[in-house]
Amino acid sequence: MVQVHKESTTMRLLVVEDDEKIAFFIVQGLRQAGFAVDHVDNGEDGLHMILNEPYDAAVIDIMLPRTDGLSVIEGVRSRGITVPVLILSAKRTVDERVQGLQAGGDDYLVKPFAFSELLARLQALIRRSSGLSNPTRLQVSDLTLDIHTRKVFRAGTRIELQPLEFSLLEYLMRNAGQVVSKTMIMEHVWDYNFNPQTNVVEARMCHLRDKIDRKFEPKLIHTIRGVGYVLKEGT
Amino acid sequence: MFSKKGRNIFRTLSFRLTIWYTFVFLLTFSLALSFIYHQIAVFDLENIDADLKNEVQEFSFFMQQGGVALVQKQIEYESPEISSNFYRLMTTDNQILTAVNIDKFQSVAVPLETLRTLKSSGRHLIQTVLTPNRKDGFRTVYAYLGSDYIFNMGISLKSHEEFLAFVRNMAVLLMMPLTIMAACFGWLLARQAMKGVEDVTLTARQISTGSIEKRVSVRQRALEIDELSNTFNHMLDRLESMIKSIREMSDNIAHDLRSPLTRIRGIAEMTLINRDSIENYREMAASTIEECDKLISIINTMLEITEAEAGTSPIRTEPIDIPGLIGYACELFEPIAQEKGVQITTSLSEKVTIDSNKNMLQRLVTNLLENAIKYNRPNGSVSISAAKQDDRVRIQFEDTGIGINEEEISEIFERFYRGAEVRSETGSGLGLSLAKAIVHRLGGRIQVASALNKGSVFTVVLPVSPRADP
Repeated sequence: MVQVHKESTTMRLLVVEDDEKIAFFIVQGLRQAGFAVDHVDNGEDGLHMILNEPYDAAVIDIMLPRTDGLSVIEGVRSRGITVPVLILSAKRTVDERVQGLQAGGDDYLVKPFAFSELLARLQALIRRSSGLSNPTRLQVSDLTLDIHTRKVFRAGTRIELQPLEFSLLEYLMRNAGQVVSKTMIMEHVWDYNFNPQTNVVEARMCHLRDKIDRKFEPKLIHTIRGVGYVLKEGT
Repeated sequence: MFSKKGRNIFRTLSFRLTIWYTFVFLLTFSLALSFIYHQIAVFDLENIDADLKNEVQEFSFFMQQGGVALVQKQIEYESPEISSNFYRLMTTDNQILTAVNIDKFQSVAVPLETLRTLKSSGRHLIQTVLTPNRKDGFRTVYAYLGSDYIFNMGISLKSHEEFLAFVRNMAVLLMMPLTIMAACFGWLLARQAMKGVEDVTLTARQISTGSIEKRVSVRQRALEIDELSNTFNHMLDRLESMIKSIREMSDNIAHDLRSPLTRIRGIAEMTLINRDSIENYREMAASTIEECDKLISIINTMLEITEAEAGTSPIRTEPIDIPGLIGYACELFEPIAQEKGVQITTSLSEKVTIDSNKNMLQRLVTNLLENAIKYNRPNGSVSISAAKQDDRVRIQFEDTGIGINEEEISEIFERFYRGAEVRSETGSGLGLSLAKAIVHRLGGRIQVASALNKGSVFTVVLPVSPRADP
């Protein structure tokens, strides 16, 4: 199944994944998120596509028929193509990760994964590769956050946040409109390894919400049960 | 043993031992026999020589008593019919005066060389003269009788040779049955020695067909065999307990995976049957994700425990600021503690840095902290202390919780074990197992002291730098 989109304004992604159902939900989700997505189910076609089409990013599974994912990535890199690559793998050991990144992958996601995490990582990769600088001042609706002064205002009112609440809000605002999962918060915001089944994130989010949303309208932080949180205007 | 199919008898240790035994036996036996044979030969020859000397003395006596005439007469008495010896009387210039039986011996010409030696030594001379046909060889003596005559006498070596030949034949004849006997005896000895080894093999074979509870009996045989049996049995004990724990574990896993799966299936089924509103479908999807996350978490934790316990892959270490790591954990868990009304206090030494694995330490600390909060009483407290002691770091988690009763205290580190009091709390029963596995992987130890309804103290002691090979 190869579909080539010609629009130049939308971001073009390639998904190389042989599991039909996984590929289906990734492609579906990415299209809903506004990407133009091509999908191939083997390494050989994957390599061919990346070499011939200007993709903004690629999602490549490690275990692939014909040519495996690592070889595809190595093939791509050996030809000097710097397209950001997100590796998907069922293997979760540190060695596997290192191997994947050494082959030239830019990020590594272990199955099973949350789609929202895949999306967030992909967007981060694209942002990084397109050289967009991180803004120092974030704004969503009437909520503003200044990274340098570490001041947060909601509707002109200064809101005092604890450091952990601040970093959490910063992450939510950077990914405004995107769902972020609990594991993403654990790994990317707090960089701490704890049992993901604890409600550490929930409890913290509850405090943050208290400060950001309780006295204000519209509510900005929304919980998507089972998936994570999203910061956006409206429901 | 002989009947076992596909087993080459020549390659067995028993066979080799037998061959060696037989070989060594034959070698020793041959050496002993040759020595005895040699001794016999010498002894027999000495007897002959003694006879020769006696005769010389006798004829010297005759010479003194009756001069050459008596000697000649005495020599002539030795008739060819009764004697197999030859006699000869010569003058010093080689004139043969009397000779008896000389025709029975070929080539008994008087060797001039011998006479010359005799003349220079002046005493008697005993020689062996061998003919090409050994049986015709003889032992001969030359001796002066007085100063003018030489007495020469020879004794056939035929009977001597025949006797030695008999001895040789006997030895060869003996060799055959002795070899067979030695081989049989050697085989028996080897079998006896190898019996223990075979018992072990037999047990191993029985085990490989399924009966792991079999053991080799230790029957005070040779020390080596007993040691082998003991070692083998120890190994089996260990294997058996491992298999048992793996079995228990897979039972537990099956159970713990089955519950979330049942919930997923149940909710999905009800949603489908009831043709519910979109809201209920959302509810189903959300709870499916939650249950899946639980399953993934259980599987990941199991893998982490297994990896830490197996200790196969090397751990990455880096300098870790322990008070910092604990302080951060407390900050992260503060909202949870607040919800429960639990006060977290820390008493951390200024600077304790250890070389360890950050990921593992974080998980260790948060698992213990989470338990201390979760199983605490409302308005209780958790106090954490960390201090360096020599080349170790001691981290203590003290809570004012429900405590652990004595029967359960040995079980709490077991996988999937959940105390009777806490079954209502959420949790997988893997937290402490993982904590223990991590501590062991990092080369430390973990202890717990507890008083029911008063609280528990978990103490973790970690080395400042990991052992080279834990």
